[in-house]
Amino acid sequence: MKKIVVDSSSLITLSSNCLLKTMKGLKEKENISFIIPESVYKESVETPLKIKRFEFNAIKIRNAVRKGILEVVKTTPEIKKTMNELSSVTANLCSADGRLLTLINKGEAETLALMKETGARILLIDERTTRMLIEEPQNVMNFLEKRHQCSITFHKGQLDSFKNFFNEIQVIRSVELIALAYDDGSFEMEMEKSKEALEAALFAAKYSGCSVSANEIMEYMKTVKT
Amino acid sequence: MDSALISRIDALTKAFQNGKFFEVKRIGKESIKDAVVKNSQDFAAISVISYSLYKMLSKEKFTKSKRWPTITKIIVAALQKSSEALKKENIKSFETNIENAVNEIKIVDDDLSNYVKNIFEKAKVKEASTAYALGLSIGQSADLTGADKAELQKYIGFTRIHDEQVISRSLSQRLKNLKAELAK
Repeated sequence: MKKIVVDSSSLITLSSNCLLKTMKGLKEKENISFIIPESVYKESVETPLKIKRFEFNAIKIRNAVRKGILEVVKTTPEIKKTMNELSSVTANLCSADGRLLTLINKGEAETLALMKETGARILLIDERTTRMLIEEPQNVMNFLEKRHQCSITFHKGQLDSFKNFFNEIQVIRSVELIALAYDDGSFEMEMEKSKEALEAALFAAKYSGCSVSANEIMEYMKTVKT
Repeated sequence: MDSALISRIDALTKAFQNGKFFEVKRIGKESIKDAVVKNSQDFAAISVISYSLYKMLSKEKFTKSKRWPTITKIIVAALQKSSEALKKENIKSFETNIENAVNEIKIVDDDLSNYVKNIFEKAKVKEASTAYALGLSIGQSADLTGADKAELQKYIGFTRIHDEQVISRSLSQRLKNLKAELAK
């Protein structure tokens, strides 16, 4: 069984677009285990359950956990240790004009720690910065320099430590998961199989905050056969 | 004593008192930039307050209200006291007065808004989205400003932030890699 660690950003996208059933289909057809850290469960279920505006989405995610679509991994001392190490590395990763920049928070660090501790090789994350840090830290540097119009320095030792945490992992977003579900038929657990429905689902993910551009979706749609 | 923060609060107080809403907005922008670089929740709070005040100043239903002079007085007093507290390095008093300013904004919003409320919550999301545009992750941007992560993500989805990013791996490429990984 292949493990996919799910970040809260993707969980928000998939649950708010009623695509949790699609995850169930993928779990069965592709033999995937979707796992989330305890902190993501608390953030996505326990806290919003107390707020009327967010309660329904929280119930949807809780149901997905109860039905076994999502598996919650408890924060073990090992995960906590890795999370602290990662938090320390990411907090010292780069600086703007000599001042340290804290780019990611503890929740995101815990998701990454779970990757390390479970040996998962696929990370599902819709959030841009963490993804870019894992895949192309150089792009993060260029991006920050452009945005802040100041000198950005990446601390090589810290960057190497960060890279060592994530050798050869695949980073995907909700849109890739939806595209996979379309190809293997899991998409039909939620929706008819049509190019129109696929495009609508991909754009729904984008408008829910998945870091994908409209051009990327349009380019991909050109390659999809009915 | 954070002299930059004190100057920022003083500038905000003056601009708000004089009804200069574009200046108030500009102060909000500067403050969120500082919040990102300094990882400072205090600067983030000033940016959220600034954006809320800018929204209020730009709407006649607030500024033409009979209560507006009193409201202005209360908010200005809270901001001035927060600045004084910082000068004396009295962090507790600084936080209390910032909270007082925030509470007044919430009360006014609740009393004077007809349909659309939550100026302060929306300001948190707006400023958090700027922090995200400046390179922080969604989680870090939400932590800094106190914005709700789901609301923030949704807001970001409707901006052009993700359309402007460099595409290092396309959707097709990632899907191909995913299928290969699953087939192993």
